[in-house]
Amino acid sequence: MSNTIKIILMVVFFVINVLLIILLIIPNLSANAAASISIEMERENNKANISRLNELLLIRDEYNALNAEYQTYSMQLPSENDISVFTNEVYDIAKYSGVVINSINYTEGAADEEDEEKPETIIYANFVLEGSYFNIINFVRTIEKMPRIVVVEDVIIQSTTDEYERLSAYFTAKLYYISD
Amino acid sequence: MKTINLLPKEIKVKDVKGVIFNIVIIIFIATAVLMGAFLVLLLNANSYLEPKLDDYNRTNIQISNYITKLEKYEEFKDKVRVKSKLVDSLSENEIFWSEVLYDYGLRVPDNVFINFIGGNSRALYEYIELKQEEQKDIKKVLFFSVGGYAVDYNDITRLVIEIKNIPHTSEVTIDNIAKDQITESNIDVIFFTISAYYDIEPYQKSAVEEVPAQEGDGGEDVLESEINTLEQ
Repeated sequence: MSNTIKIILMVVFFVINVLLIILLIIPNLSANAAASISIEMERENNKANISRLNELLLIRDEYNALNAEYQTYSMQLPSENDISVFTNEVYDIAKYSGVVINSINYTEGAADEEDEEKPETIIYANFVLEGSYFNIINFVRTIEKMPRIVVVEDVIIQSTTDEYERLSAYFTAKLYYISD
Repeated sequence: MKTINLLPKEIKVKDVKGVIFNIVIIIFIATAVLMGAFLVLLLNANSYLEPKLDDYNRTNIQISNYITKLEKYEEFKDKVRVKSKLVDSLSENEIFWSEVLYDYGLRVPDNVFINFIGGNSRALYEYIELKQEEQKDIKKVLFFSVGGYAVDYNDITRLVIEIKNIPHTSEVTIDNIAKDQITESNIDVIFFTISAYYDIEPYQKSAVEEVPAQEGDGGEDVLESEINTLEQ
């Protein structure tokens, strides 16, 4: 084989090698690397997702307990003002405590700017009632222990001139509700 | 018979260039073959990696969708937590007036007659909400006042002592005391008005509570304020 032919062959194989590298090996290699990096990322995501999923599954398992807890809190702090329900309950309590309710006056709203930022809305309930000392106490106690949060703020008990045993009581209670 | 070669000896000329060319050609061919093999491996690897990547993608999308659905539970949990905190904060430090009145009713001495009792806890709740500097300005918070009459001064003193023993009470003062006569029965009595004040010490904010927690260098400031409080 003459040298000329050998040189031609060398050039041909060199060109073949270069073309192989440029056209096939480099693109495939980079695609391969990209795929490997993506797989690694997806694997990491997968791990994170699975751990998050397990965390959430645990929360889902707690759902019934959480729901029961939420119902309790909703009784303590309802999502509507429920004044009619409260009034009914108060009259029932008065009946069983042996006091007479002369009036209940409700005022709703935030007292000042700071309160406006709070999520809960306050209802002030002003009671005027009559009864004996310990009956009034029973009434107040039952109101304070109601499932709904009722905070008694002001209390005035005074004797009436007509009958010593029959006292007049005025008190203000705070109720709350929160819009969900 | 011997043959005699009289022709000049053939000199073998070594073709160095040809040898080098041959070696280079062989190297090139070998490189091409190796690269071909490498290419096949690469293509194989690619054909393995791509479905695997698709699988991961598909699985992750499915898990993400499931997570999105389950996140509702977490939102609910947060909602419960917020409500729980709110409920706790609303009923925190509550003064149960029924207990105070019941306790008071049991403590009133026999010869003391009460005309009125008036108390409030709003002032105390407002005091609790105040900042430490603002709290410093307030020395007393009125708990309740009682007014009535007694036969003897000693009964009033006894009532004062009994009121002092009611929980949440710190100071009890006699605001007014006056001799009088009940005209109908012609009995000498002593009218009085007594005020009881809250024990505000448990609700006072300390300097340490007010200092917000800081990272790094802030620790020294907190430590100093704690030492100052201890010294006070």
